[in-house]
Amino acid sequence: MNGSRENLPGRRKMLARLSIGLGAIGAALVGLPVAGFLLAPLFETVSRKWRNVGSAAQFENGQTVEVKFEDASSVAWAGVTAQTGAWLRREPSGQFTAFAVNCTHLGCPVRWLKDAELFMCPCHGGVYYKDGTVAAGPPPRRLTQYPVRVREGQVEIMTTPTPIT
Amino acid sequence: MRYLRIAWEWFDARTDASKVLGPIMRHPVPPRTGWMYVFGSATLFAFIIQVVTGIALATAYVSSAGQAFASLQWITDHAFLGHLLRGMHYFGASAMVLLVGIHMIRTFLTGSYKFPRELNWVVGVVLLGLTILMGFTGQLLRWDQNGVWSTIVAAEQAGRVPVIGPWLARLLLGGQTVGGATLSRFFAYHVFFIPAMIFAHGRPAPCARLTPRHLRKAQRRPSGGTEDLSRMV
Repeated sequence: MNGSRENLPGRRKMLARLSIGLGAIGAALVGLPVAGFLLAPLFETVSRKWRNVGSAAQFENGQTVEVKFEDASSVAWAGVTAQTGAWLRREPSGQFTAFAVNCTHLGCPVRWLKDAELFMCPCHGGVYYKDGTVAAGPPPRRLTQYPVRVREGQVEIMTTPTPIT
Repeated sequence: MRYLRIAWEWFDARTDASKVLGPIMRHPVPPRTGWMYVFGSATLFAFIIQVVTGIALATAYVSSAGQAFASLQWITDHAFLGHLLRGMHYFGASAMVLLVGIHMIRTFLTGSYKFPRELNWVVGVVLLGLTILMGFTGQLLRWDQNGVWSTIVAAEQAGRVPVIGPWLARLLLGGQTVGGATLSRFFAYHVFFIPAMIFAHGRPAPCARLTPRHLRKAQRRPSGGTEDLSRMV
């Protein structure tokens, strides 16, 4: 019996195609939910929330301090990663500015050096002035700023995705 | 001994194990290869160590962002021989990266990537990338300061891939920020996804085509499997 596809009897050819078709449908039935589950983070929208970080009165003019607040998308098992942070600066005029802790070079956490009034990144030596503009090093742009407001005497920062620069 | 042979023959008749392992164990080794010959097998040996110690560690490791670090502290400080197991996995990872590098350098310098092994070189490059990824994802599983911030650095770097970068970053983090979903994802990458790809790609390189003169010399020497095993030991 010739085994080439052209010479297969019609019924056998039909059954072969049916098997391939049913296999493809089966693979899709299993594969699509798996792919959807794995790719879900691409399509999820996380509503941003205002988080209270303290009374406006507790922040002195001209000072920059670290504040912590709960992330918008925290889950029950997140542990300490449910918390995120920002550098909150109160200008001499009383206005507030909130900077992301992530260096715009590769995302490492910047430190505030009070005496020098500079933000410094420990990874590759990125340096920022107190207003978040780049002073030196590899950062391509200024520190990311978070929306901040004062409401009923309380300072609130809006949760923001990790800045991917 | 007789019973062992009977058991082996029973097993082999049903699995064809000797047909799979035989050519690997008995392949002739060209003369004057020396220590340069063993780095591929040494890499495989390091990989086996990683698999065995990794499976053992996974029985106690908790891949939850809230508890991962504490579970590692327990493994290190309280579990019986836990510190030894972590040490083997930790240094085994470095050894594997080092051995892969040496193996590839040796392959390049001796021209062993040429016919009939061009495709093995390509697969080797893929395996090198997968080995680096294993090292990187494993480092994150410690979930200490280094691990968490390395995750962000990885997301930043992925974010710079043209066009799809931001999507890649979100897939790596499992969301928009480092959180509960992030570590679970990296655990799955480290334990399931990447090892599956390594197993799918991994196979010994085909034997060199020896000239009749070299083949006669090779037949007077230990076989490849014997040589590899003795030098691993």
